[in-house]
Amino acid sequence: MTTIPDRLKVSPFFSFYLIQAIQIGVGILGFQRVLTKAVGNDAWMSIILGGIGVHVIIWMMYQILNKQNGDITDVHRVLFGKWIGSGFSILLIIYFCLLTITILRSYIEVVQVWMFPGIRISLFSLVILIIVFYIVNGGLRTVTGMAVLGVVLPAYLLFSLFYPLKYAFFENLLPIFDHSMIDILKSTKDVSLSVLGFETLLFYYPFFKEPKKSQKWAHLGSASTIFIYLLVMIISIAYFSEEQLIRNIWATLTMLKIVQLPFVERIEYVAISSWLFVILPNLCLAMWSASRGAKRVFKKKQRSLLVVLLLLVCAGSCVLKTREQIEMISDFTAEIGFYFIFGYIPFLFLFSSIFYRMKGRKSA
Amino acid sequence: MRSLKKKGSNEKSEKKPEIATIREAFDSLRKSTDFVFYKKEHGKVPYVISYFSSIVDAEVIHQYILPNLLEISDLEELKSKIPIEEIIDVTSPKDLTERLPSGYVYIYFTDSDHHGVLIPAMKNENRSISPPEVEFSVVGPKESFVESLETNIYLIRKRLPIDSLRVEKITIGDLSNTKVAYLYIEDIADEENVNTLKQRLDEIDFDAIGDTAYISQIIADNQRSPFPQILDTERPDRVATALAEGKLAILVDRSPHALIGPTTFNESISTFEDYLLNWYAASFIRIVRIASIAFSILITPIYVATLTYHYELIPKDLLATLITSRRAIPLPPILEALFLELTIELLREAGARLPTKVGQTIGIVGGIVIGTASVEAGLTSNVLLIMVALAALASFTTPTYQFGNTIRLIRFPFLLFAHAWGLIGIVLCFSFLAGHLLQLTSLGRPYLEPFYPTRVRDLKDTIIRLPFSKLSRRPVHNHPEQKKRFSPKDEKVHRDIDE
Amino acid sequence: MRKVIFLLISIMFLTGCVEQKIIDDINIMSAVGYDARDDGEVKGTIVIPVYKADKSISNESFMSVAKVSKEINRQSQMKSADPLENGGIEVVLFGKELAERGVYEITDTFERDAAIGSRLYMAVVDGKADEVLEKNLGNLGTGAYLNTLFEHNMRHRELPRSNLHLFMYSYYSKVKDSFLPYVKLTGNKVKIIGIALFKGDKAVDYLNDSDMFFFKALMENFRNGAYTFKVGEDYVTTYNITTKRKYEIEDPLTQPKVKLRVKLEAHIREYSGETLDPKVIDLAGKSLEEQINKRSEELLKRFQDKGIDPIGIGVLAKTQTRNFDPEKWNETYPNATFEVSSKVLITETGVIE
Repeated sequence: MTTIPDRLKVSPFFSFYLIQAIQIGVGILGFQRVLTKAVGNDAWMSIILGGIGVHVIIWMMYQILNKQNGDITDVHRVLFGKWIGSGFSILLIIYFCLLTITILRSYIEVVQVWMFPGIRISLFSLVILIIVFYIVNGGLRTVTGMAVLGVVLPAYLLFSLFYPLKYAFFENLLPIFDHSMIDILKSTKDVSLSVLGFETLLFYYPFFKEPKKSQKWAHLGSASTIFIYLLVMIISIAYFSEEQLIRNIWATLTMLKIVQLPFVERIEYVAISSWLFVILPNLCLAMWSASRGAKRVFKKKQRSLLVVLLLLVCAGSCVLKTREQIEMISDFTAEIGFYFIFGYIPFLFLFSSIFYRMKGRKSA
Repeated sequence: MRSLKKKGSNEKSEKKPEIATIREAFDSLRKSTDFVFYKKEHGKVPYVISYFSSIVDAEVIHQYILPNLLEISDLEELKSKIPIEEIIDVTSPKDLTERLPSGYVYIYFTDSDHHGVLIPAMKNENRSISPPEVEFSVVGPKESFVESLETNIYLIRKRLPIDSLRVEKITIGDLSNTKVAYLYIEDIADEENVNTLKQRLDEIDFDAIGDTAYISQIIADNQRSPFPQILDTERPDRVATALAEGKLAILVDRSPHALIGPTTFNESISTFEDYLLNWYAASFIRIVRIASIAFSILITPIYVATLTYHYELIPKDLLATLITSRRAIPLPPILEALFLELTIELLREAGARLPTKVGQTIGIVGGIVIGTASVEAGLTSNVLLIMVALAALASFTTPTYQFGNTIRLIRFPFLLFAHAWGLIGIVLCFSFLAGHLLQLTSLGRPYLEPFYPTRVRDLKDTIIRLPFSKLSRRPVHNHPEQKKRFSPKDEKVHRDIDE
Repeated sequence: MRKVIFLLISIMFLTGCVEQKIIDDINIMSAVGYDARDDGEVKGTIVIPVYKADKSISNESFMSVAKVSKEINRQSQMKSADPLENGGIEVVLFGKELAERGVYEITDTFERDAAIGSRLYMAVVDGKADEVLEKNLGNLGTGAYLNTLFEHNMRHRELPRSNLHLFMYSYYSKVKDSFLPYVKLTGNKVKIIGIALFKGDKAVDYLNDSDMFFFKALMENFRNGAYTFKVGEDYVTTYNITTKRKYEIEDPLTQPKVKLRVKLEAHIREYSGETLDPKVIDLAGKSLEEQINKRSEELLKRFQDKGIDPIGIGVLAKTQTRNFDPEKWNETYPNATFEVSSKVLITETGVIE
């Protein structure tokens, strides 16, 4: 609805990076535990099923947005009117802030447990958020650039998965279908939780040069994410025994402890440090979306809204102290995210198709 | 940046009180001691000749001007007799105040009430064209720019003898009156780029332009950035090929450098020699260069980070070496590293300020004596000494001097971050750097192209340089009006063995 | 932006950094040993390498006694001039008595600690662990000596692979039991004398070094390794052994029949007899086949009698059964029958015909 100048837009090709960058985050460091608890060695199947679900949702999002040719706030305003629509948008903004807090705090927790037990949470969050501000300040183009970096730079870590293979027992994958289909379907919920965040698409959609062309790349990005999750899951199942996997909070990191390189004794420290490259695009994209949404709703300057939101996030991350609290907030966010993605978006999809059909009939 | 741009056109006139008459102008010029002025009565008509002796060429005066003056009686005759073009009639005092200091000779007949002519006779003392020193290359042309705008334009024109090469000149600087020329090939260079450059140059308001470096810093997109956003070079061949790619060049009178824009990060780390070597060798050297830049920035921070926080990372065999080398050192790794880094900077700076021969000696003495002594005195560990020395060596591989300075500089924030948060600190600092580079532009074009925004076509000439047959298109980065350099032959016939 | 950067840097240095561990200001533990004491307490020995100015390395050890193993670290910190850091531990030794009493409490601490790697070697000592760790072994420090000892024996010799990760893997796996190398102090050296077999976290049986070869052949496909055996009156030593093994199981839930097929390729390099003609080579192959069949079957029976399963027969059963019940498997395991068949191929006989 609002036109975005061409110099601020990005090529449709970048939706690949934007989707993949936000789907891979802290989740991949320890998603195996919950899945294994639910379906044991069949976890890889739920990843595939979950991945299909995510693709369907991405398709729906494109259907909704293609009709509107604007972002989600436009969709809300058109479908629900000014007040209710804004209400929905505000809820979405709050959700993105929660997501940012979860990602940030979970990463800091990893740093605390694995590297620096004595790190100051407040200071560290502040520094990271200053970087987030600096990047988001450069607009979506800079955020996209960060997403590209976040995908390309840490890619070397995929090679380190080669080392656990030496200790892998692939017979752990057998027997297939040890668990019922219903269990597997249920556990797809846990899969979708670790790939949360791609709904930021609802905000940056109008920023593509040819939005419709970006759909192909978005699907490809999501597929590659699912592939990486699948790879990590299969290797984890082979590397750990089932109960070991259930006990490990960050199974992916634990797996890296076995890597032996001639120049670095322990690669997991390097991995955690470079994981910041993966986290930053997550934070930037979520904060960009939140502030963009706030701008559309409140009609204020995005920069000042961004500062306010970042301060909120910083405060939020400092308040959380213990593992239980962090778990609580991430479960809470995940729950909201799940219902948002698999409840609200299909609803919106149906509603908007009916709405436009009715409208079409009326005008005809 | 704002302060350097023009605030208003009427500001200039406030600076000096208006000189009303030619006589007044003449009187004010006489205050300088190198101003020569004398009356000659022996000719047909007595005349007065005046000039600044320091800037005019005595030969011109004695050979062409004085002999002819003896026989003439009015200005028209003078103009036709003297074999110099561009003789100007003085009409306003401004002509005098502007032309005389730049090497004109002023002649008037005593009866004409200061109404005379200005004859150009400036000294033209220039270095002859010499081989490039900063961007030296073993193969390829051995010509570099000199301190004369005309010669420099000549050096480029002779490489691009075409009618579409446009040279446009403007004068910048209230005091220096520097002539600045910008060049582009009309059918190739993007019009938007030309307009951007033109506007930026027009907006410059700075009293004395000393060199191209002034221009490059003043028209930079982001003056707070440590990165040079316009490439400077002393090689006319490099400028000519850049122009052919659709870039723009700026030449400044009295400066032996040219500026090329819009530029990219990738260009700052490539040399003209990369195009002169076989593409395998060139690509290899580029990779070495990129690796050494990364090495030079990161190695000391990594040393500080691992020795301060991450002892687990160090391979067991190396651990013994590191610990024994640091046993007697009282300083924490960060101070040790800062001490050595600053010493190296000191050596470099001292070497650069001294005459060549003394400089070399200082380098060797400093390097060997200070290095060995500080290890023996237990101030630094020998492992770090090796690393810092290697890092310094690696930083010299940056092909452009300005960019090399940036690399020198950005090492220090990395060191401080590494000290504060170890490896995470390094990554934090790197993210800052990445965020900065992503936002940086050169004449409005993204600095990190073709890496981001990704231009797959342009990637052919980045970390590796593909053979010329593959580089059929001009870089998209420059938005060239003609996209193709040449049309590649559709397909080469693949012949079977012995056919 | 400049203000922001200034603010950033100043707060960073004003509020100080995280806890520093400058490498020459800490004591990096390289090996730890645990022994049982009669009163139920645990005695811990911590070894740190001491790097001397002449680049030689010696050892320093700290001994402490505590109720639980976790307390030992704290007790030793009180004796150490520089803080003891556990991120560099390469080897953990258990005294035999403690190994029989159970090691889970200790291994769990190691697994839980993010600073400790998964490649940590563990071993059971015939005798006391502190006797080994008190000695000055090797010239790179005791920890490095033990580390390389295990490493090369696992990679190139007959010692089956084991480390902290594999131990915990088997411990948590309900269908497999763990094992560790079994070592003994002999003079100024440590010798690998066999394998300590665990049931849960308790050592229950010990294999000697002649069984080790067959045990490794049962455990994993491997390359390198040597074995000497008798052919008639003479001895043959085979080198560069490559083995491949394949298990099959039938009726895992009622009357398990385990079939094991071993394929072995080897070079003969030493022969104590006169000439090594094709007949002898053939004979040697046959005799090796027989030995493998016999000894492997013996080993499998032995494990069955002890109620342990270091090979992972249970894993085999599990892969073929949906809704696998480990309890039920434990009941059927004693009924299992074994059948080993092997094929030996002598590929080279050295440079002399």
